[in-house]
Amino acid sequence: MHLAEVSPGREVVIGALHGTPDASSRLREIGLRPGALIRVVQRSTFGAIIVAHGFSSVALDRDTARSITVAVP
Amino acid sequence: MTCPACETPPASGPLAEAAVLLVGNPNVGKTTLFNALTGAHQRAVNAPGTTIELAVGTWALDGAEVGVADLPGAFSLDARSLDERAVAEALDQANPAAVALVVLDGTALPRSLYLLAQVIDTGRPVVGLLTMVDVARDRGLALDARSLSRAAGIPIVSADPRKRSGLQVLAAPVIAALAATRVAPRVPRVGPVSEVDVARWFAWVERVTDSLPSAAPRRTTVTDRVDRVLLHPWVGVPVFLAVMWGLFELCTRVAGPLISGIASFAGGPVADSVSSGLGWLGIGGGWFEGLVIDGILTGLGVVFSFLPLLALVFTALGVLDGSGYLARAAVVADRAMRVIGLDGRAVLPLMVGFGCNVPAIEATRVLPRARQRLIAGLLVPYTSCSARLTVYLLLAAAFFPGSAGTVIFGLYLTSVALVAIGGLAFRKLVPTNGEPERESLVLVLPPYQWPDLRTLWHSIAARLRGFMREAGAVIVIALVAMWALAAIPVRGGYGVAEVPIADSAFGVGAKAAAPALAPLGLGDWHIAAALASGFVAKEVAVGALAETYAVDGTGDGTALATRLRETLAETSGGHPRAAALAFMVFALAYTPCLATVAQMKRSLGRRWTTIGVGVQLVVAWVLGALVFQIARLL
Repeated sequence: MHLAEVSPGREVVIGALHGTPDASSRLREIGLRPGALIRVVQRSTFGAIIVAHGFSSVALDRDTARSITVAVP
Repeated sequence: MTCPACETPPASGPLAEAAVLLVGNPNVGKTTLFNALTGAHQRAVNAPGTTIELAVGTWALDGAEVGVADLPGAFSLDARSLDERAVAEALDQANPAAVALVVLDGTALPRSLYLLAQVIDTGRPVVGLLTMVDVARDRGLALDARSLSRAAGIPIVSADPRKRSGLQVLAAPVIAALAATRVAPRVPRVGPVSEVDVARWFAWVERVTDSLPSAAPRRTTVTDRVDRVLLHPWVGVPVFLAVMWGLFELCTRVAGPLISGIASFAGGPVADSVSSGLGWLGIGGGWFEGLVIDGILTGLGVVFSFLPLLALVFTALGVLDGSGYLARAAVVADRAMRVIGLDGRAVLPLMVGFGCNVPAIEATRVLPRARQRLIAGLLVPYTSCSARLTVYLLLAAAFFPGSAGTVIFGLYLTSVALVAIGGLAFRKLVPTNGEPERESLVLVLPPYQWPDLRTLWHSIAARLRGFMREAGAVIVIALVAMWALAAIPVRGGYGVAEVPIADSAFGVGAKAAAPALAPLGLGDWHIAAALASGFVAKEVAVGALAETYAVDGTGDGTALATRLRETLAETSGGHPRAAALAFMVFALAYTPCLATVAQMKRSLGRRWTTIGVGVQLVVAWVLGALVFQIARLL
């Protein structure tokens, strides 16, 4: 399952990052690493999604969300 | 252990004086801290060899004046943007004795610690400042700087940068760190980073965070609730458009009267009193008075007339940024701007550009990446500012009396199309310099908060001073040069500053340049002179037409319109309307005004300003010629 398929309110654990090396590094640096527990907060404009990780919110576009595989904890 | 690499001479330029380098993730309150430490003793400078802006200032620390530099926000020193590279280079090359003061966000500690791990590895003495402790406590996470300090192995204190009284806790650890010596860096700072190092940093972050109390489950915050509206798939876009509309109104309706008020004050009462002052000193009249009034004073009037507009726009952008809305705008507009390769936030400078290009260029600073700022800065001049409307109004009324509105609307559509096409073209033209060409949206959304007005005021004041110092000089010098061209007689035996425009160096130059405009149906010296004056400012172009025709340009402008119709009927071979369209398109696409060029030089650097201005002239000429050649067939 990838992150774009998760409905708002659900919690998931990040499995793997399949984006470009640059994009994956950026995701890891801001805390979205394999193993991290995140919650999809809401869907936003044009397929973007907002996820909560720790106390912070992160916005991801649809393509990025599709490049992140997740699992239900 | 001392550091052999530190024997290299310290960085020259703005960072040479800095003994404290502020480092931190974006939006952690680094700039608020900088303002609290330095107050008004600060200025904006460019990082060595770049157009990346740093703020430098002095901090009165224990009776000594200590230089402080506010480095750009960064998630990592494994630089993926020029801004991050500037941070890595500053940590590498600044004064070897300088201390890195790392701001750590208590509500996003793992992220802050990851950067801290890398900064520690630079070998510099490091002090940590833990912020947002109260916010974390409200959310059920009790942090204390002492245990964090023990776990991280560096001195860490906690304080809220917004309450400057608490910042004395920084004094002792920073003074101690200033006495320490830099050790050899563990990792070469600038350049690619190995996966081994990355894994080591992440492991360190985990070790440190594991020793701290774990966070309570995340609750829904006020920010989440506001975002439900502002980032709503359907509501988000109209709210964003409303904010953009407000920004546009601010640049036109609110700022317009202020600009013309100051300009007429400089041209009226101030010019009169300077004139009588010169007379009283016995040096009035003649060319000297012309130089002072029409050259220098007009230039200063232009510089000062931009200040209220700049202050208004910077305030609006500062409020949008400081409150946290700017990050949401980036999300909402991401899709639309991605088409032309820009970040969603690029909508803001472009929107400001339709009011006035000068603050719009400076507004590109809201973009987080240097390449994006450069591309947006090159695109801003194609947004049709309100000064260009004066040219459209004159020509549309004279040549398209029944359909002036449609023609002007068409010009605005052309402007939007030029921005879009320009975006695609500049993406190819501007080198990536190692930054990813097309970037996905991965954006940490800062919590909403009230903008810190004191920080805002200091940064606005620093920017206005920067504009006056750098752009001001360019504007005054260029206007004096323009005055001189119009004052120097070339023919007819007139005296200096007494020559009719047609016989001045300016008029003779316009006559020589006129044939170049023939393919646009505009091969006439009056038109060439107007377009050359339009380089100073578009509203000046209309004045120049009136001057060269020696008619009164005020009132309803009927005399001027008649003369223009006669001229264009002749130059266009019987297709005056096609030539008028070409004139308007040319006015839309070429260099908007001198102040914009001065601002471009400040923000984009000399090289890209030259390229940008050159491209504008070529685009204007080619587009004008196309429009004329096609329209005359219709």
